[in-house]
Amino acid sequence: MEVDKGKGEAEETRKVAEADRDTVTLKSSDGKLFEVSKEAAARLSTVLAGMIAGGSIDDNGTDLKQIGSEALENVVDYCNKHANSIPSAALISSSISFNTAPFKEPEEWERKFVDRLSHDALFDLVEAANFLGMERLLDVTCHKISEMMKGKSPDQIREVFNIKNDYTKEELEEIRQELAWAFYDD
Amino acid sequence: METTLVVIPDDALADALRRLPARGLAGARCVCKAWHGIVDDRGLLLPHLLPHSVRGIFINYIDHRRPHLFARPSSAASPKIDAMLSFLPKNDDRRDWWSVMDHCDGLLVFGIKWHSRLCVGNPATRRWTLLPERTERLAGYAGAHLMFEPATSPHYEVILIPAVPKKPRRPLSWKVKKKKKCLPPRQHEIDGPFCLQLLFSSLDDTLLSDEGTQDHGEEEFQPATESAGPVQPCVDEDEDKEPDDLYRLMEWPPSPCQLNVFSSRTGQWEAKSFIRDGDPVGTVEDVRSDLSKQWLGTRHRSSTVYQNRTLYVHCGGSFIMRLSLSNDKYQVINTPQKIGNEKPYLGRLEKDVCFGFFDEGQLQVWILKESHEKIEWVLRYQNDLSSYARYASSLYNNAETPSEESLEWNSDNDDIISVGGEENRGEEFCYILGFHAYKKIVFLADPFGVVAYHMDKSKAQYLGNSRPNCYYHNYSNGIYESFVYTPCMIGALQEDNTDTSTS
Repeated sequence: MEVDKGKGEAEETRKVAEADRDTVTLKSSDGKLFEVSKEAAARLSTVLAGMIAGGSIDDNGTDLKQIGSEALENVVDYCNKHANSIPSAALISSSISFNTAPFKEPEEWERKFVDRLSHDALFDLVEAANFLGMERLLDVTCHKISEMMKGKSPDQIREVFNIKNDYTKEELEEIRQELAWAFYDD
Repeated sequence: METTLVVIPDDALADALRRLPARGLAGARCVCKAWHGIVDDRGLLLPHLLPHSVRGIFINYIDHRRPHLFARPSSAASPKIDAMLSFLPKNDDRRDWWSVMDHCDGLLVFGIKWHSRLCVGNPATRRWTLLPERTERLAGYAGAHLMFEPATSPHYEVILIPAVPKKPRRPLSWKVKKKKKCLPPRQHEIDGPFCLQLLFSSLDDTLLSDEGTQDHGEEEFQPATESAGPVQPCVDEDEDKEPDDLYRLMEWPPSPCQLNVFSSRTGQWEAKSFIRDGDPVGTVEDVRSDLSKQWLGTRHRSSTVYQNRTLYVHCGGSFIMRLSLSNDKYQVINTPQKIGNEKPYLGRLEKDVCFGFFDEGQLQVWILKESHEKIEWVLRYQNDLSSYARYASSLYNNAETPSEESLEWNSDNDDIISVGGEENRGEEFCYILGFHAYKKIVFLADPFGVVAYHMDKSKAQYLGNSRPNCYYHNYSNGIYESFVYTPCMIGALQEDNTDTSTS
């Protein structure tokens, strides 16, 4: 990374003041920097919360090597929007347990937020949210993904998700038979 | 075309899949092997497949040829239920009499073809299995009961519970010949190590002479009707007298108690011995005399609960058999009170085994508390419900009869009645139809108007008329057994019937 030599002193001061700053800087795998509300980052991401509490936040941009700039931009965008929206009590206490938690419906702005994304961007965002431990964002993106699956045949789903059918005809028939009731027409 | 495969972390994909309805999940399993793995390994379908709601009550009516489902409106609910049970194997004989013998977590066992055959079926998946034929008649049994725990396995077992040996009827002269032929060897065997199965098979033959007799089906429904009278000495021959003397003094239930069990794993019947832990009820004679004091319907109605590898069976009488399948032992548990004219029901209330009485407007419900070494009944609920009964009865009398297909209730709205204590007693409920499996609700009938009564809130809701249109009017009209139905999409059943047309 490059830092202007002339700014070295200013940088020192900035570091000292770090504790008082209300934003953190995140750096994507391709080196782009993003600022995000510290409060929102800590609240929405267990990973970032851990880094902030542990003091491992780098002023010059905390390296997030697994996350591309487009996805990180969306993460930061989401966090900042979240910081501006009124956090409902339900949201703060929300925690995902993959088997039992009841689903929390996305709020209107969250719905719009994921709706505008391309499929690829959405899948990247899911990955980023997963990596950063952002349960609420995962909830919202998974909701969107399930919407994309609803009412579609296996063939249509494969097309949307770019999945190769790795079954033989016989295997497929067997799997259908296991739950034959699900394939009856009403 | 070269495609870049989308990579979604498994946890996230599972979370997305989990939001799909059952059909969506079934479809997702067909997308690719990885998705199939996620759906199955994480048990995503289980919440949809396991029983989680009450969809209705299967009812056997007195002197009626078939059972009916008294149910919620079918349009609103999922999965779709074949309420008329038209998926079951077709019988050419249109006059076939059949009934529901038991229900357990979404599976039903039916006595079909005049109760000569047992068939296990699932109205939600429309699958069924005809159990292999047995050599001895089913009529010697008080009940065929299902043991099924879909959360742990799709396999089920059916167990036959023997009826208290009946006093042999005085054989007609033309039947005696037949009996003589088979009696001697059997008596020798009775002298040997005790074999319940043999005792029953010989009894059955003496009771139900042959195929020519008209009412085999009836016989099974009314196992105890003939035991009511005083013991008649059999004067014909010594041989006729001896079997009953043997039974009369025998302790009941016997130990070891040999029961026939069908397992869907093996596809076969197998005799299993259960050793009694504790005292018997008494002698056969004691049990017979106890039964003879009971209301006729009580003697017909057998109810069971199966959970945690333990089967609780009440087949009339003032006792319950608690069969433990894990150690092949059984215990006799006395009912909370001696049963006389009360109408008892053994069922499951939320997670507890419970026993309810209905007598002269009084509802009483006990919960079975089990700890090491000690099993006891705790009175859970007691109230006078005669005012509700009157109200339900007035609604019933004013309502039109539903069509055969629409024995439906509507408990999704809040049409709950709260009735104050008026004085005049008139009508009263006749039966407890069952307990709601997931709420503190008991279903009562008066005899055909059905009411759901919430025990904690002391509120009742009239659900509707459970009398089928095709049930002819007769003084004997009424309800035999009733089973609170909780649909389940699991069950290792062989035959698949997708033909939805009614027979």
